[in-house]
Amino acid sequence: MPLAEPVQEPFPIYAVNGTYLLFDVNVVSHVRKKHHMCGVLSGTLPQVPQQNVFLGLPLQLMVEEAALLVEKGAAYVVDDVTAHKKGLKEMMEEDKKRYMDQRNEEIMKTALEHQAALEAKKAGFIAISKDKKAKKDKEKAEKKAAKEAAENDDELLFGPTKSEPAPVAVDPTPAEASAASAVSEAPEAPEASTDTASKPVTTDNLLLHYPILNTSTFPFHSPLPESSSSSLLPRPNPSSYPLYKHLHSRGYFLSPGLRFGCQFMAYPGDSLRYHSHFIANGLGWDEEIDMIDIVGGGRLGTGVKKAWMFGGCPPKQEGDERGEEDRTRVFCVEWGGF
Amino acid sequence: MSYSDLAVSSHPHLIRIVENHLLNHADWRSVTQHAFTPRPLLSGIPPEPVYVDPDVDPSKPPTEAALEQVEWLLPVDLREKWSPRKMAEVFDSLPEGVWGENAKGEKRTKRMLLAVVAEDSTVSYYFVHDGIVKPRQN
Repeated sequence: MPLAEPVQEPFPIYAVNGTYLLFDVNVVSHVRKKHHMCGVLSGTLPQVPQQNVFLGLPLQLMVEEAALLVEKGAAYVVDDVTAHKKGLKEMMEEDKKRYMDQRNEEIMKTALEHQAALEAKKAGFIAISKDKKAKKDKEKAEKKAAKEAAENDDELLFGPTKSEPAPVAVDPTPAEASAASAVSEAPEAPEASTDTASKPVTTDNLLLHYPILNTSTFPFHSPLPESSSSSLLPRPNPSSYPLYKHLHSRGYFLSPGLRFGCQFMAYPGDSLRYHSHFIANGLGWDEEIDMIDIVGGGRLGTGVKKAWMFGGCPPKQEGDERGEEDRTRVFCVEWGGF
Repeated sequence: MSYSDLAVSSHPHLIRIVENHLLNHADWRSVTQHAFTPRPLLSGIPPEPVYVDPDVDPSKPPTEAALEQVEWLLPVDLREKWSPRKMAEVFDSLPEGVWGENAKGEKRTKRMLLAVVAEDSTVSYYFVHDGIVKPRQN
């Protein structure tokens, strides 16, 4: 696995019908490492679209994640449909040819490397079998001499019983045969390798490797749009976004919480390493919540060894320079235990 | 039949029910009423610590300070509606400076017990912390 290429900020987030997607695995790991955002892998297998155990690219970001990345200036939103069409149209004939040439070159290179590796492996096997053959030949000669000496002593009648060592003597034969065939193949092998070096690669003599479209290479990279259209900007829920920012700014990793009966799950570190601490719900500062929901939340949280959290952001006071993420008040609820 | 709005918003009966429950059922001591605004509160000392810091070694016996830890209680009716603003106002009405330290030696955040009174006088208690506090059983 090659090391992840450094990602240049700002990077594009592709918006498709209100969902925010990342297609480049380097960007995905960059976002996770630097921005503490995990998103949700949403690409499934074309053959088994129903399964949700093995999911891959693209990564779908939460609206809050996309909004915060844009807010920080780490990313910009691109409309995926128009970007794709524009990219295809703008790819001139020359670019196309250059891309195809580059691709062929890459195929050739990979194929040659593969072939060379195969040859090296084959050569290794030949060396081993040659050693074996020499050893077996020696053994055989010794056995033969012993047998002849015995036959000279005994009558012909005992021949079959006396030929007991025969299987042992016969044993080397298959090995010998295979070694012989390997030797006969050996002269061909170098020829094949010189062939591939001089002749253009065809489908019969090589395994073809199809390169994966790298979205970060030039023609496919969607440049920063000159005028950012506000219709594309992620618009997170104003009552829960401050809570998201509050927890995120304090180093928590947040993931969507619908499966757990809340808005966000808050992990104290990367969600692969830690259990979540909180199941969080964001409310407006004056948004009402039934006491029975607080009780239910407290029970839910305690039942899964977490704390249930709710909170909201008070409106900005005059002279208060703190941002939403610092003004937000959160309250953790746990069962009292008595 | 549920209470009228007036009955729900008048707190003396809530205070009385919770105080009674604490003294006679849960065996608390030094239970005191506090006429704070926006809500009247109770404080008291439980027979044994009701909140054990998740970072404290559970095999060690509770410290002197833990045994004398005063807990604050907010009696509420089950059918009330609350909001982040109301909760913040109650926390802001709590006195500063009596909150002690957590197991890591940091000044600990305020906490209180939400004493939820249901129609049938059942009282159930939930801890509410003012801020991000690691849950106990993790």
